[in-house]
Amino acid sequence: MNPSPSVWLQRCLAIWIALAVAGSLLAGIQPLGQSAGQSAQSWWTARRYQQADADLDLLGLRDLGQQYLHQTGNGTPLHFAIYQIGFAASGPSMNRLPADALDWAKVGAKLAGDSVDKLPAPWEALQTQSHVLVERAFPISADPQDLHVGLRAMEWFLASGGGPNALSRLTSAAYRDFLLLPPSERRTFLLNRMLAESSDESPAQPR
Amino acid sequence: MINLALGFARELLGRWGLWVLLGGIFTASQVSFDTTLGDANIGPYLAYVSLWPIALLFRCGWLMQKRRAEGWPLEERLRDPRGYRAPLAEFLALLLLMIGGLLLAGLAVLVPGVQSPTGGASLFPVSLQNSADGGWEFDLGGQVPDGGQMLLTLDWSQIDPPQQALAIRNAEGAEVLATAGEILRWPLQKEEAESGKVQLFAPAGTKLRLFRPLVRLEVPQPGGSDLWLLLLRQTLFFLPLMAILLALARFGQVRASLAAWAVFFFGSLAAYHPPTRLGDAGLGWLAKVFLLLKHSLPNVEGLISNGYRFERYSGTTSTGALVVWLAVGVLALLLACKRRAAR
Repeated sequence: MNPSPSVWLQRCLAIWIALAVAGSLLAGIQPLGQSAGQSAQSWWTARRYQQADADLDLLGLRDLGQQYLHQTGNGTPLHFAIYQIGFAASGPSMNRLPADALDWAKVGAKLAGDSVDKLPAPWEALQTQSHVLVERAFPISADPQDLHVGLRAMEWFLASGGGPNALSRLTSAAYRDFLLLPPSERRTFLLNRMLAESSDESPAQPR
Repeated sequence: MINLALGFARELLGRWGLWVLLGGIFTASQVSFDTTLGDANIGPYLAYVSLWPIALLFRCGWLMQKRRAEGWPLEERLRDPRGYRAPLAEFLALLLLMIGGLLLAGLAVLVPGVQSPTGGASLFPVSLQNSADGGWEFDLGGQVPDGGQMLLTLDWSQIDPPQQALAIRNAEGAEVLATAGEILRWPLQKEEAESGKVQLFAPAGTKLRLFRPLVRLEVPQPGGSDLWLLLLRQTLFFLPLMAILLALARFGQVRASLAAWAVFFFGSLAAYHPPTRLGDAGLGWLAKVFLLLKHSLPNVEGLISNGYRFERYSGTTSTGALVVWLAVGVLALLLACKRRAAR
């Protein structure tokens, strides 16, 4: 006896479900409702991040900031981690040994450099990276590469005018002044500008 | 029919359904909008709320199967020879519960003490596909909602003699003036937003360069005032799925719980956003089959876009696609009302 149409339909549905389960596992198809699970996971990551901040666990801040960026696309926690690791942890108020301060500065600068293409708003991270390398790392390491990378980050920051959320006429004007200089004088211009900046302001603390 | 619908709705809710719904919405609003615990993002809230129609879908499948085992179809044949009252009552019950749940979800942002998201704009990294002399081609990864624009940070340092401003244009001749030391905001043209592909050109021979890692797509982020519209879109996404479940279980005469799973995965496919490059998904022939199936469905991802980064695809569903999607639902409902000969 031939199976009825409904039995055939039932078999087809069973095959469809099996294929769809395989598709979810292999082809990246998200089942409906999965974003709710991901949202809950991200919420928990944010709570762990707050705990790491309270515990002054700098590497925890880094890892959880990266995780949160990956999960949610929100880069603010990671930028705060870059600031805390690179700028705050290596600062004079922390009373670290120079080698220790240099280590933290390098970790922060590397984190900033690695995150620029992933952060939704990378301009502030560039500013932080430049200040970390020029003000914190270079005075200890005297490595010309640190200075070069730091000044390059500052050039990118100036070219953006401070980013879309912090557009500053002074920053835009500074970049235009920079362009008017011959190439041999541009590095000195950037360095002088950063030194003048650091005497009255540090990179904006993200929060 | 109203009594039938209310009876079905009561049975769908069960003893604890209403309390689970209220507790779920309260918890979701707290973790989404609370001033200290939440992150003032409407996307996760939408994701939590979308669990309600999903739960209804499975509960409905279970209940229909239970009723079938209890002999309800035979009773229906005797009481309603034309056979449209029961399926319409079931659909009405689902509609009532979905709308009721979503109305409660919409009220959550009005509760004192929660922080209603204000909206704004979200930024997304963009990959540069090709870069020829003086031209850049970007892949935005699919359709972009209205109001999207690209943010380009330009490197003017190689231009000799230095220039303060240059016109950037696209292939159709639209132009925007770029100024040194400012981010160039390129408002996406209609075709660019629909295709997700943008090609821009700097004036020939100017040596204007692009800081590649800093290219971003800016998309408006819906705020608390848009919550009702977003919830309505979710409802419109789920209604045809409910109708398809009824059609499969009634006209197709298959096990309703199996049909619920099939509809669930059908909905997942409709909501699926295919990766920009096939290589992203680690797949092969299976992904190609799903891509083919996906492209044969109307583009309704914009209706069910939720979770973090939901604004990237929210509202990208065209009216035409919505009409086709709803027409599928109406067709399924008609099929559900069509009675087949008893076996």
